[in-house]
Amino acid sequence: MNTWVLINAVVIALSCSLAGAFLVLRHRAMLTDAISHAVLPGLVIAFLISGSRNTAAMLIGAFAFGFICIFLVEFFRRYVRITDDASIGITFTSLFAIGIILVSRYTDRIDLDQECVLHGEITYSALKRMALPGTNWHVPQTFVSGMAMLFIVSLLIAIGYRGLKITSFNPDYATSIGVSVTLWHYISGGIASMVTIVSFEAVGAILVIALMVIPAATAWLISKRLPAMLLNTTILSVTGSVFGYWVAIWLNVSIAGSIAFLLGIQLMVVILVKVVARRLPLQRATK
Amino acid sequence: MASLWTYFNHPNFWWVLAGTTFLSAISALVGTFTYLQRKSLMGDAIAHGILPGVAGGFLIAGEKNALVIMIGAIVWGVLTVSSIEWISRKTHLRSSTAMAVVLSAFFGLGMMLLTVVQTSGLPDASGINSFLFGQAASMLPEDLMVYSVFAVVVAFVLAAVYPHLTIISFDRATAESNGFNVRRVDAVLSILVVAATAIGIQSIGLILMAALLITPAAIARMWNSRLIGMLIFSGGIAALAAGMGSVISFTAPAMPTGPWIVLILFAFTLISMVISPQRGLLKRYRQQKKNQDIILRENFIKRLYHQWERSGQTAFHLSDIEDTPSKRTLRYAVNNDWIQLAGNSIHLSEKGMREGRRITRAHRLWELYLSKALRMRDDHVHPSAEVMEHLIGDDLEKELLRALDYPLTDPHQRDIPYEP
Repeated sequence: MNTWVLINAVVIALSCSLAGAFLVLRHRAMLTDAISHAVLPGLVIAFLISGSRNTAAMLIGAFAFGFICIFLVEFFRRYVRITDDASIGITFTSLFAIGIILVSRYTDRIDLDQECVLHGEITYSALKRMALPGTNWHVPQTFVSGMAMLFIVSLLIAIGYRGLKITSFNPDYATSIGVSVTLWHYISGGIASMVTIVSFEAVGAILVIALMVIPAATAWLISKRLPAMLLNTTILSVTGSVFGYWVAIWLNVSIAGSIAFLLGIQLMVVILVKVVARRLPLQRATK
Repeated sequence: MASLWTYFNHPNFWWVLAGTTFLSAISALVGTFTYLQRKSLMGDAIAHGILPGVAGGFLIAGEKNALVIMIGAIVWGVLTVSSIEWISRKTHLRSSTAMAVVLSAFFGLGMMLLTVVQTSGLPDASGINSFLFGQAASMLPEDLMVYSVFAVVVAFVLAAVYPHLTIISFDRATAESNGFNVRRVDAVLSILVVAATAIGIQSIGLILMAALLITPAAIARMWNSRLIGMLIFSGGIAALAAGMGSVISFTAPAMPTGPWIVLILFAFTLISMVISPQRGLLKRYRQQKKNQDIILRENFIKRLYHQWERSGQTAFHLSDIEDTPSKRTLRYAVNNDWIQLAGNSIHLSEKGMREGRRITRAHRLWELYLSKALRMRDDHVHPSAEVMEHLIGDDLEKELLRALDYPLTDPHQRDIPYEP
């Protein structure tokens, strides 16, 4: 029974970390922070209109607010000349505030609450089941949507691999050979936003950020080439989710929080090992 | 209003109102400096990162003890800042990546501790949620005293390092090259941000605390171009928003306060965006409209002048003029005695002639200048002159005349008209 919760966490972790890798490479990690907060009012409004946890409606709502977020940031920056980071900060805190007010105002009509916004509902993700078409297997809905998302993300990365790679590592060279850096900037941002929005409901605002940023950042420290980095990213996201899940069950604490924290511990261990290794005489001799 | 009056008589109301306005103003002052240094998102990272300190403080004290929780928050806030600093120093990750990493990992730890608090069976365990989104009305005078003492300390430190902060905010490079210890001032500012975040946790909540550091400063910047004005303005606007937020918190106790304060600040942002005297959209629209009017009427009178040049006639029919002028342009021309208008016939007056001559002169002088001084091809000079004719004033005209030695014809062999 609980195995499904772990499987769901791993599936979501895989797609988040893969999509996050290209954001981290482009130094746009804080974008996930903004998007994961800004889509909340979209989810709540969609919920209020459709009257149920209708995935399609919630996706439309979230996407609409994702766009409003990007528009407002751009608007404040360009027309009001508020500095870059401040316009991001103003926009996502305000949208998140609207979401929280709606959640607490209509708390009786929505089965979302202030806490679930932060924690997500990974614990309950195994409960709602659906039959796989043509079979008798009943699997959780979250698993099905998670697998679909993982497939789409992998496919997009496979198709756009060359463009994503060249514009992440050497934008000047990309421009000189006629590859549009702006276009791939939006494609990588778009993939990340999609994953953020789909995962938000299951794992909450904070774990989305952790999954997108930490495994990729950790993998970047230990990999020399992009394929190795992507592989390490996925491995680290899986180990982080599994350890985090175990710790959460063992200590009876929040699963989302525990996974986020364990991902951070992995990064800290990697940095410490690198720092210590740099001081070893053996390494110095080989240099 | 009678119902609102009952809140005014609530024993805690004035305490909470005075407290939250004071605390928010102090936080906004600190935020002004992070805004100027483009470190606004640092506040968000710190605000999320201190959750383990808040939850840990709660667990240690075994109750909602403001002092212990404050100390926990500040200790953990300093740890958050140093972790971000440590990661960006020891690795090649940028500080924004380090911020996202530390923010989410520490908030995760905080969530673990929160679930411990909730299952601990401690009295008041559910009260911990008020730290996430703020609950101004639930603050007791004792809590407020604790927060206020910290806020006063923040204010004093801020006043003490004010000159240093000003230098690194506006001229960091020069300060650095003069041997000024920039890193120490950075460290002091980081600790001030931690403290400023911590004093707001109960009134705004830590999730949205970043808004109090960012938004008032951004609003103040729209209205002020001097630091001191910005500080007063951002403090004032934060106090106002927080005051309104606490009133809402008393009238609707089930609602968290933080989101309301943030939303009020957002409304102030939108209003300032439209009406602020410096960068307001309204002001910019009016300026644009005014320039457009000037260009339209100058083009109109120029066209009449050209027609006079060709025909020697000072009387025209309105339909003879290419690009029919707007009523607004015509009204201006009539009111300023540029033309006399009778029905559809126009008579170009002496004053209008002078105006048309001035613009034509500016146009042709500029064409000649581009051709002679900048050696542009003669068939490339017209578009630039179409723009410049509206911008060349008396001084520039005199300079052009002198530089070109009072020329008689332009590159297209047309006369440059002088005042008779």
